[in-house]
Amino acid sequence: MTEPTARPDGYPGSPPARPAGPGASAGPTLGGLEVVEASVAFAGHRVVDRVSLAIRPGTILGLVGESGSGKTTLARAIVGSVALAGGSIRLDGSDLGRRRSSAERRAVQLVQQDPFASLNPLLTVGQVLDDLLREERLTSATEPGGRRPRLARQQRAADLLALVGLPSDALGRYPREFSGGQRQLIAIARALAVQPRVLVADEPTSSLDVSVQRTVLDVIAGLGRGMHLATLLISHDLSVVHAVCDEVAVMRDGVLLELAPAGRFFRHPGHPYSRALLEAVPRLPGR
Amino acid sequence: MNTLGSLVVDDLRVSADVELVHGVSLTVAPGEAVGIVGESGSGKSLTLRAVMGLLPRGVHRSGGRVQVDGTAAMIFQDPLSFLDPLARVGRQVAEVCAAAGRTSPRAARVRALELLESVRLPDAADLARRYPHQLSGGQRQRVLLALALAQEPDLLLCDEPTTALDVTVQREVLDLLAQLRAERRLSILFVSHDLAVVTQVCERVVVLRGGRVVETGAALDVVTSPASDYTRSLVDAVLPLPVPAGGGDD
Ligand SMILES: Nc1ncnc2c1ncn2[C@@H]1O[C@H](COP(=O)(O)OP(=O)(O)OP(=O)(O)O)[C@@H](O)[C@H]1O
Ligand SMILES: [Mg+2]
Repeated sequence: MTEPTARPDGYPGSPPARPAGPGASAGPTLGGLEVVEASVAFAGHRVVDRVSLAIRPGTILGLVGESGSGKTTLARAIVGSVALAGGSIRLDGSDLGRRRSSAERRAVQLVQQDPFASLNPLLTVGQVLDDLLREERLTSATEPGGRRPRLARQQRAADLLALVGLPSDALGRYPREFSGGQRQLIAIARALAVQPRVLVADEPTSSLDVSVQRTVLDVIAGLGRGMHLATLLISHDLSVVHAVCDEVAVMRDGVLLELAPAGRFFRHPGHPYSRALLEAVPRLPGR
Repeated sequence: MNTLGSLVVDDLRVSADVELVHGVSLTVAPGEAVGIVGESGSGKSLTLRAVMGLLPRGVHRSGGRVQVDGTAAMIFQDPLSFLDPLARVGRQVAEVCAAAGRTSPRAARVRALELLESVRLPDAADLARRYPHQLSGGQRQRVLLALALAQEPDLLLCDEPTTALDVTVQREVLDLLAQLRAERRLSILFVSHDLAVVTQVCERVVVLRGGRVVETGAALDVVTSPASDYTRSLVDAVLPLPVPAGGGDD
């Protein structure tokens, strides 16, 4: 199991140096993910309206806000599954258009609320991972453009499972043989298999129980930081956001209302709606 | 005495290849709200589904007794699998209204719109014309609640009914349930992983573990002074959240 991540209070120190990965290109900016004045429209109606934010490698931005405010739509724009009506999405300073190269698509991975919907029920976990690893062109200096041999792929698949805390015998099993929490861990392993730079998790724990939620969050936070990913975590659970995020963004009606370091956000929310959210959190008596 | 909306579950057993729920007993009185808590795989959803007689394929009730007085309706955890992807959501709600009230199609459409508004969907008339995939997760969850209410139930079974909602909308939806209980003596069996929500909604709570009841009692007592170590571990697992500094912005 991964180390439980301590909650970093406020903003973390200087970001660690990032390793070069697929899709990496030297840019003049800070690196990581930048969303610049992004808009998305459905049938002429703007559901995401000029949203700007940035996530540095190794940090986690929590996105919260009203149901229907455009969080999932923004996530889909970031991974390239809906087109922008305006603005841009940048990775390490270079524009990610709608038509993305396979390296660009691999670089930005999505983990969804329902891991069952996103896992092919007919493939074992090992097959799912192997298919991904087989596609991967090695970028290492020793074998540029080469592919991993079978045994190396098997080893890598087992390593990925170990990273998310699953035993390697999971490789031979089918998605239905796992609990909801384990399936979510598998979905994370799959996202990480392609060595992304950005991880977008859209309510990854809202269909899981508290006990499993912790594990899944610890894995997302621990690996996100450890692998220097820019991580976007969408959640309605403010205590979850409090537990793992460095910064918090709040959306309502397609608009970004507030973006603040987590330490400040939870103590001194800057927007009345943010305060209303924090005050509406149901609390256990005596807490 | 009017017992409409009451539920008795006695020594319920649910099995697939092996037994999964091992003799669960619980009751809900008319107008009462009872919570079920417990970790993943503890049998919460199976118990609810067994009450509805809607167990997943390959799973069956293998013993015990379930007695519902009146009509029961259920809100399932995964809205997408209970909505018809090819029908506009307003029509889906109207069809259920028509079946439940034996009213004209026109009256059913009006009633459907009322229900969609009552579950706090903004622009209900606009959303009613959309297909399920054109709604956000939280909007779909509220459509599901409207569908359940369209059946005019005496007993409402809720499986994690507010997980996809932000906390301000969640509060409004929970207020709506409270209002329905007061107005119509609606009884509620409420499954949630959120102990704070359960304490807000329910008078009593049943703690399940591994398909067995480990503890039951007044909701407030169970969360403030749990009798079992297991319940205590559930309470301890609740993540802390600071209260924002008082009034005004700075
Ligand atoms: N395919 C679509 N066509 C038309 N409108 C859509 C479509 N998908 C989403 N919408 C609308 O866009 C708005 C934003 O939806 P989105 O799913 O991004 O919200 P969200 O913030 O993720 O909400 P939730 O917290 O409920 O998941 C909503 O009003 C939704 O109804
Ligand atoms: Mg969403």
